[in-house]
Amino acid sequence: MRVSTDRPGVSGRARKPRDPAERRIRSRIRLLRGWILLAALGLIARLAYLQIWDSPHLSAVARQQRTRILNLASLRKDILDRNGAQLAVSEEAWSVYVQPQDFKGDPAQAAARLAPLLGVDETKLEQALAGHHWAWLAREEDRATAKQVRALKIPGIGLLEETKRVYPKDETAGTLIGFVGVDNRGLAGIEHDFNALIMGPPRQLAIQVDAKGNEILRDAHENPLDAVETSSGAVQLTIDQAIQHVAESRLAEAIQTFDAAHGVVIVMNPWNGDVLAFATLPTYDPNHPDLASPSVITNWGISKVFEPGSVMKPFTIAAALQVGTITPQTVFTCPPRLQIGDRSIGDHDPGPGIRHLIPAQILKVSSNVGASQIGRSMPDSVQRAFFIKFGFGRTTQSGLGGESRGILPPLPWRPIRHATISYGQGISVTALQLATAECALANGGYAVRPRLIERILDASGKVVQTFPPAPMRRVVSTRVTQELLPMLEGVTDPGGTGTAARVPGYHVAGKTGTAQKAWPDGRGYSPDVVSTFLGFVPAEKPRIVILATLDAPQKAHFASETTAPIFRDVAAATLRILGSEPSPTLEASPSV
Amino acid sequence: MAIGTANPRLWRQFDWVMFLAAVALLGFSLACIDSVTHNTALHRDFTQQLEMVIPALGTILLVAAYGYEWLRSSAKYIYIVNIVALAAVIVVGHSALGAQRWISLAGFRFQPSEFAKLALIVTLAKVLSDKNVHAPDGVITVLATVAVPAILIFKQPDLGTALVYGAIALGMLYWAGLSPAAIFNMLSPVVSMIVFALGLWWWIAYMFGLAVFLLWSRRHHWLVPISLGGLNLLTGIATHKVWGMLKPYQKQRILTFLNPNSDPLGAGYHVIQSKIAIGSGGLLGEGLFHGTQTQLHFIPEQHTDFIFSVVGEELGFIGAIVLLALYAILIGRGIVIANRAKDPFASLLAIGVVTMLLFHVFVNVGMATGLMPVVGIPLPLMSFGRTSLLTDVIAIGLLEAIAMRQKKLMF
Repeated sequence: MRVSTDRPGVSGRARKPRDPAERRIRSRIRLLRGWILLAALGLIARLAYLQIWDSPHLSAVARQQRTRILNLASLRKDILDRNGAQLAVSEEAWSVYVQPQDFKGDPAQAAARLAPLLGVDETKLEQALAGHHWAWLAREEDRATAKQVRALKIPGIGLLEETKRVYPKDETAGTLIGFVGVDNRGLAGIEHDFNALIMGPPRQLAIQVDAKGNEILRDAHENPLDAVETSSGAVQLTIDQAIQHVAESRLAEAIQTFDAAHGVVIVMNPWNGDVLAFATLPTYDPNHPDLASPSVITNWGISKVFEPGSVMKPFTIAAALQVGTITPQTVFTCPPRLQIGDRSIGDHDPGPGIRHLIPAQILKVSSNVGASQIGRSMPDSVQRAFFIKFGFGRTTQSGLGGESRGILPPLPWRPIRHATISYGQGISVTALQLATAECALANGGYAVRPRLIERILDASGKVVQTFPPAPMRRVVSTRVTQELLPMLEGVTDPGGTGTAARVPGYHVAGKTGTAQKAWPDGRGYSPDVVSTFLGFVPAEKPRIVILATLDAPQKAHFASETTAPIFRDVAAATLRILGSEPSPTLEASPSV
Repeated sequence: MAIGTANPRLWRQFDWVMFLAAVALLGFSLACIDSVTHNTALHRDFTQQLEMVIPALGTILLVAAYGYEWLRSSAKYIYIVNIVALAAVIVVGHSALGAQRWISLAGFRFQPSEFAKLALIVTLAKVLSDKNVHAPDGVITVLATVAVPAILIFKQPDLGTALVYGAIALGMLYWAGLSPAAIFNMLSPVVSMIVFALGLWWWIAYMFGLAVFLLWSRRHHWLVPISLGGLNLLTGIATHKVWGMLKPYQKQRILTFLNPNSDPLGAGYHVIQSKIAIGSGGLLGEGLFHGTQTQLHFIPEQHTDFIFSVVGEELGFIGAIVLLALYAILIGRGIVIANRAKDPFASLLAIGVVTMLLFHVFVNVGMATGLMPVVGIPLPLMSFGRTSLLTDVIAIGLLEAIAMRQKKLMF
């Protein structure tokens, strides 16, 4: 070993141990080595502290500063109708921005290359590129454009993936579906009310970034977000967009014809509460919510209450039949006007003198005098309890936001109030409450809950969650609905108020209602009316309940003229869409 | 003096251990620079360093062969050329980071302050071997010799190199036989300044202690304690003045050293990121080319002054210890060579080189691990930079030259 044999100090020490100069030099070397060793131990201790003792902490800090968590919660599920037609979809969209610190090129040259791709004015682009601030160059471009921009490889020009909510059916079910805000959260309609379902559980993606915060791309051309599925499944509604379309177009026609302020058409399946169509007009295009006025964004059919008028009469009769204060054969004496206390009530189309009417006739001619006597045959508390069971005075629990409970006056009812409530004045309801209550009359006496969400599908189309109909609660017995059915059918028979609602080939059960509209301040009534037709078809084995309401029609008032025809047309089209067989008894004699 | 190549017997004393340690360090350096710069625009730095390997090793052999006698005779001229070059930097130099350190010569940019370290070593070796350091005129000559280039470098300003100057001077004075007490006396004005910065009461206590010390060691002429005491008083009081003379970035570096987290995105960024990178390396490291902090460029200019953090992160504690062990071999062999040198000039030359390398390693690693303030001192043979690499290989060549001509040849 040359290191040891080479050392003159070893032999030197043996030879001249007492040479003071040699000793001084040796002590100097010892001291020098001592200091160096001490300093070296200090460095090693420091390294051991950093790399062994503190390493877990420092590694965690390192991980944290090179990791960025992307919130993918903004990926919304598509909204489909019951047959899978797209009502709302999230499309991938890329926005192009400039980061001035990284952009070193010539603004004019870059603008000239980008302008044709982005379809943005070249001078505008040049201004943005020459600026000192981070700026968008274009928003929500499609994938092909994004790829072309990326292929230009201009440093400082970045692409950010966003999703853009698109409503392919434009205005169809606009108010019902609603829209989302810039942060992709639902702001109105189903988009808002079922936001939690549509958003799904929040997801996060951890990506690596370098010291400048740039994403570390798996390869230079790919965006890490490309690998993330952009569709997180779908929410399937009970709505049938074909029926919805029919309802809306027919309603639009009626609003135009009669110059009404609003209109609602609801089509429901009485057996499970499925809402097949929920048309409210006027509506708006959710692709451009900024152009819509607030009044059309709120769903008139659930948030606004109105006095329903005569469409309440069947519910009064059903209650009285259930408690047994009347039978279908009970005869009521009906003068043109009936004095109750210091007030009197009258029929809109009174007969020549005093009439003797059974409940079926009372419905058919829509006699207020008769209906008030039927109502008053029961104590107010009993009638009110039945109305609550039918769903009035409380929300339908459809899940839609902003549902009004309506106004079911508290007990006790003064006699005049009891009388008017029995024929639908002095009580306020929503359109959805009426349609939902009608389901109980159609299905043999069971209250249903309106159902809008059918199920949730994952990205591959597999069902991941279903929303079974709420258990039905009995309101009235099947005997009562069976006794009531011919009365409701009689309304559409010749001489009834609802003949215009007759659907060729089917028995139709229903009731008209033309209610005076109270002034908003509650002091008396305005000249305007709310016209409603509420019914179901086919009468003997109902498939659909339809409500059609026009708010403040000007050209004609009575439901017999305004909304009964809407019912007819929507019912005919819906039955055709559903593939319903005509009522057997009518096949032989189509002309009645 | 015959050139070594002509005298094969000289090469028997060539220190192969030290040479191989230097080669190993260059290998480390290339790996780390490649790791930092691959797939970035700075990769040309790797190519440049790679192209420098053969010239660098050739320089070691050439300097070793050529010997050191010519340095003894031309020390005076080296000193003058050095002063001129340093002055030229101030007048016509290129600036970087608020400091002028570069001059261009025949198309090359280089930093005279790097070569100035070697020039100082040569000059001091000459002065210390000629003069009696225990005599006042010897001390004054030594101080004057150091002061002129030190002031020029401080003017650039390059605090780090100025500190290297101080360290080299102290090391060589100690080797020349100056006692620790005398060295402390020389340093005491600077100590006075630092203590004054700590607080007035600390300084008063220090001045009291100094007075007791000077009275106790009254071997000197009465003028010595009086002038030392006065100098301490002056520098202490002038602390604020000196602080005001520092460049803002230098003040910031010192403040940041005291508390790096006070400015984590600014001046403290380098130290914090370096500590994070070294710490996340752990015992075994994340693997060459796989250190996340290094590959994601969290440490700017990592292949120059902060190259130790690459070793720390990618090769871990074990890798860092191996690196330090290579420096230990280099420095250990250097001390042995200094001890065995043929004459005092050679011995002082060797110890000057050893001190320079030692100081660089400790300050650089200390800086990367957060033990020392950030001063721009490269890690010998590791940091990217042609001037510093050339300085380092000349230094090692000198050590080899001294080793080859040591006093007792063993056959």
